[in-house]
Amino acid sequence: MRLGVAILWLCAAACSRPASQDAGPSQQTATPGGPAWFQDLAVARGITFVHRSGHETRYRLPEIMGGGAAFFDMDGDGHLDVLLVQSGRVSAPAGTPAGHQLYRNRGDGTFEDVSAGSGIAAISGYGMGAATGDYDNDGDVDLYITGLGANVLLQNDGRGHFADVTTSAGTAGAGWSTSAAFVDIDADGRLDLFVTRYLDWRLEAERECYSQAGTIDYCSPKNYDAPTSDLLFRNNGNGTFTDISRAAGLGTAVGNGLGVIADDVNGDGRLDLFVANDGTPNHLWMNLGNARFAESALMSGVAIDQDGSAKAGMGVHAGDLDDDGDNDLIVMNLDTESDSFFRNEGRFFADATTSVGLRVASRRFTRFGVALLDFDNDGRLDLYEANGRVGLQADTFSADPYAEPNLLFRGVAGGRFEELSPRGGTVPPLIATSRAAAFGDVDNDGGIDILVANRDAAPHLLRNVAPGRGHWLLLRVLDRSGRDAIGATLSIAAGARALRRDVRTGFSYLAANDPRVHVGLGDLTKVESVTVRWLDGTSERFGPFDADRIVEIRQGRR
Amino acid sequence: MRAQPILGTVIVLTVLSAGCSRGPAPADPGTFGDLDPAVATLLNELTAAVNADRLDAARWGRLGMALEANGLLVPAAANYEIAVGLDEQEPRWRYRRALLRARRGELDAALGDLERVIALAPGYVPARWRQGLWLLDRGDTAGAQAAFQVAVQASPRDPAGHIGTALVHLSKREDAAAAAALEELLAASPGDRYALQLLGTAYRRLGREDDARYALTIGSTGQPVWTDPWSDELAPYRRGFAVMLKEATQLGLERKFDQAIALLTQLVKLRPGDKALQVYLGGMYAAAGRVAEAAAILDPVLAADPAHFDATMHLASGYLFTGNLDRAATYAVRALALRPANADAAKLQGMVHWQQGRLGEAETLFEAAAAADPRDPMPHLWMGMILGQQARYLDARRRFEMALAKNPLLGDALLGVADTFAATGAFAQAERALQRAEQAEPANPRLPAARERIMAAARANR
Repeated sequence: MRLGVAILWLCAAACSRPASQDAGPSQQTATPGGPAWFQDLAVARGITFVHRSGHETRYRLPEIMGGGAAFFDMDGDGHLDVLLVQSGRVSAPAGTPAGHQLYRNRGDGTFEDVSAGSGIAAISGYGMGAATGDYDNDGDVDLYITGLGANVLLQNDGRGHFADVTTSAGTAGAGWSTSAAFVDIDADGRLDLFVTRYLDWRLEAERECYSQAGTIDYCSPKNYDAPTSDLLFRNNGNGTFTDISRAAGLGTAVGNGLGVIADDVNGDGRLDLFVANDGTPNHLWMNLGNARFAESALMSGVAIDQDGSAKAGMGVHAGDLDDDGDNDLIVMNLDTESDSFFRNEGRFFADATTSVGLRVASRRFTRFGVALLDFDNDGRLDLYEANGRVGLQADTFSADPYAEPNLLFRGVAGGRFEELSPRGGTVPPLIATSRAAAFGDVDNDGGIDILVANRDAAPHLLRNVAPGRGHWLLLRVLDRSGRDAIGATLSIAAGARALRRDVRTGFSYLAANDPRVHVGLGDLTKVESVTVRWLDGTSERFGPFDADRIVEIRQGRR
Repeated sequence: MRAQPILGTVIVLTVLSAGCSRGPAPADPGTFGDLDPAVATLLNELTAAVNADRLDAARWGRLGMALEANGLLVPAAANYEIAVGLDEQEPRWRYRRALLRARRGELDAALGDLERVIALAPGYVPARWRQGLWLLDRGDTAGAQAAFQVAVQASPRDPAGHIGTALVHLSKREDAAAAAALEELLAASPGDRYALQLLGTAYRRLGREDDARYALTIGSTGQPVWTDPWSDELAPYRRGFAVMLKEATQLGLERKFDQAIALLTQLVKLRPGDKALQVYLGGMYAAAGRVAEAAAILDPVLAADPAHFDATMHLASGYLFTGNLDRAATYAVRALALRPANADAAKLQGMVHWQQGRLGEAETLFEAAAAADPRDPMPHLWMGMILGQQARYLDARRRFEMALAKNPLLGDALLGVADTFAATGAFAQAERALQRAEQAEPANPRLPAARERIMAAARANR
C-alpha cells in the first residue's frame, strides 16, 4: 500500500517519449520514382491560413497536437468548402477569438476566405478538431469544433452562416476534446455526437519533460497518467442534446483518446465506435442497443496489436481492404511503432499489419491523419498518412524539428500496400509537422483530394493529379429527410466485384471529411447496382449507373 | 636536376600515405547541435580516442555506440560503417549497423548484415530471433520459422525463439500450434505476460472465450521482453539529464529510494532553479519515509505556491506513511480540494480516513476513485477489505472480484476472496481461491498468515 500511492505520480514525471528510431536526414527524399499523385495548391487556390500552436517558451502539451480540418459543403452548392481549426494560445484570455478560418469553394477551383461574418471568426478557445453533420435535419451541414475546455456546436443557416448554439444544445462538454463524430447511435434518424477526449490536463499542472538531449520538450501523455473518458451526446430531436456518457457506459473505461470512427463492426445493424488511444489500449464500444455500449477492445483484438503493448493511437480509418463485406481498421501510431492494421474476421479482429505490408514502411514516422481511399481509382484502396513528430530528436528533416514527410501507399493485388515514390505523392516531398488530414473531392473530378493541416505552418491542399486515374463514381447518399445518411452501408456491384463502402464524415485525426461515397472503378465504365443498407435496417437497391459522374441517391426514391 | 622532383614526389606520397593510415576523421561533436553537456563530454572523449588511432575499429565502434545510445543515429551509422570496414571479423559493429538499417526500413540491407553476423558469431541467439522477426516483418514466414527454430535449439530457455515461433504460427493461422507452443513456454516461464497475450489471441481464434479473456486480461498488461546482451552494452554510454532522471525513476519504482535520492540530488545541483525537479526529489523523500527531508523541500514550494498539487500529494503521502494522520489529513484534504476529480487524491484521502477508522468516508472516497479511474483495481480491493472488516462478506467478495476483473493476478484480492468464502463457511472455495493466490503471487507476504487463518477457521468449523 505504501508504494501504491506515493510513487504513482512521482514516476510519471520522468517518462518521456521513446528516442528516435529513425535516421532522419538520410531519408529526407523519397527514392526517385514515378510521377506525383498530388500537387499542393493551397496558396495558389486562395487558402492563406497559417496554423499557430501558440508555443512560446514553455512546452504545453496541447501545442504539439495540431489543429483540425474539414471538407464540407456549407452552402449546398455541390462544392466542398474548407474549415481550418486554429489552435490559438493555451493561455489566451477567455473570449479571445481562436482564429478559425472558413473558405468557400467558388466552384472554379479557388477558395475565398469567408470567415468574417460567418460566425466562425468569433469563436474562442484553444481549437482542436472538427466534426460535420446535419444534426437538426434541416438539409444543411452543421459544425462542431472541439478544443480545450468547452466545445462549440454551430448551426448552419444553409448559406454558410453559423450560430453558436452550444449552450442551448447542451453540447459544450468539458476537458480536452479531440476528434469527434456525428453518428446516429440509436437509428432514430437524428445524429448523435461522440467526442473523444485526450487526458485530464490543466495549464497550472503542466509538467516539464526532457528530450534525450536533455532539453525541455513536450511530454508524453504517459507523463500525466491522466486518461479520461469520452463523451456521448444523444440528440433529443428538438435542437438539444443530452449527455448520456455515463448512462451509455462510457465511464467504465478511460484512455487518451485521439481518433474515432463509427462502424458496424459485427454486422448487427448498430453502429459501434472505435477509439484510438495514445499510449493506452484502444477502445471498441460495442453498441448493445438502447443507447448502451460495452467496451470490448481486448476481446475483439483491437486494444493492442501483436507487438504486445498499447501503442500511441492517433488517427483511424476503416475500409474493406479484402472485399469480404466487413470493414477492417487501421490505426496510426508513433515512430518505432508500426501502423496497426486490424482485419475484421467476423467475431474478432486479427492483426494483419505484416500481411498488408505495413510493418516496416510505416514505423519510421509519427503518423496522425489517415485515410484508406482509392486515390488512383483503380478499384483498390490506397493509404495516405500525415506525419509529424511529437518530440525532439537529434536528426531532423527541416528547420522545424518536428517535421516529417508524409506517406502514400498504393493498394496492390492481394490486399497489400506498397509505398509510393515520390514519398507522400508530391514532388518535392512536403516536409511539415502534419496532423489532421481531411479527404474529399474538392473539384468534383472524381479524384480524392486531401487537406493536410500542419502545425505552426500553412496547410497543404493536395489536388489529386494521379496519372492514369481509372473511372469512378461519386455517390451522395441521403436519407428520407435529405440528410447525408451517415452510417449507411453500400454494397456496390461493379463488374465481377462487390465493393463495400460507407457513408461517414468522421475519421482520420481531428478531421471531418466529404460524406460522399467515392468508388474507383478502374477500367469499368458502369456500376450495375448499389444496395444501400440504411440505418433503420431497411435496404434498397439503386442503379445501374454509368461511371464518371456524381449521383445522388435518396432513401425511398429509387 | 631530376633529383628534386623525385624527392618531392616521395615526400608527397609519404605524407599522403601517412594521411591514409590515419583514416578518415570522425565528425566533430560540436556539429551535432544542442547536446547535453554530459553527452558532449563523452563524445569528445571518444572522438579524441578515435583521432589517436583512426585505424582501430573498436574505437570507431565505441564512438558509434555512444552516438547511438544518445539518439544520434545518423553519425552512429556512419561510425559503424567505418568500424565494419576496418574489422570485418568483428560481428558487433555489423550487428549495430544492421539494427540501425532496420530502423530506417532498409530491411534487405539489415538482413544481409545479420547473415554475416550469424556467420561470424553463430552462437549469438539474438541475431537469430532478430532475423526471424525481420523475415516475419517481410512476410517470409518459412524463413522466420527456420530462424526461430535455430534460436530455440541454441537457447531453449530463452523465450524469444518460442515467442517467435508462436508469432509465425499466428500469422499462418495455425492457432492450435501457436497455443501449444505458448502453453509449453508458459509452463516453463509462467510470468511471461507477452506470451500470455499471444496465447489469449490464439485461444480467442480457437473459440476458447473464457481462457482467452483470462489470458488477454493478464497478458495485455505486460511488455514483451527480448534479451539482447549486445544491445544492453549501449546502456553505459547513455548520458545526460534525461537518462539520469529516468534512472532515478526506475530506482524509485524498485524501491531503491536512497539511490534514487542520491541521483536526484545530483540533478538538482545541476539545475538548482528547476522547481519540478525539487518537487520530484521531495516526493522521493516522502516515498522513502523521510518526511522531514521531504517537508524541508516541499514546504517552501507550497509557501510560494499553495496550489501546488504534486507537492501537496507528496506531503500527504509522506505523513500518511509515517503515521502522522492529522498532518496527512490536512494535506490530503487540500489535494482533493485542488483536484476534486483526481483518483489519486481521492485514494489518498480515503486511505487517511481508513487509517483514522472512518470507514464510511473511506469507502465513499474509494468509490469516487474507482469511478475516476476505472482501470485501477486498488480502490475495489480496499473497499473489499473495509467491507470485510465490517463482516459484510458478500459485498466484500463482490469488490474483490471487481478488482480481479481488472487484474486477475492481484494476490491480495484473491486472498480477500478466500477470506470471505472462509468467513461464510465455504471452505472448499476458500481453498481454491487460496491456491490461485499462491499461483498468482507466490511471494505475497500475507499468504502464510491467510492460509493459517483459513485452516484454523476450517478446523474450528469441524
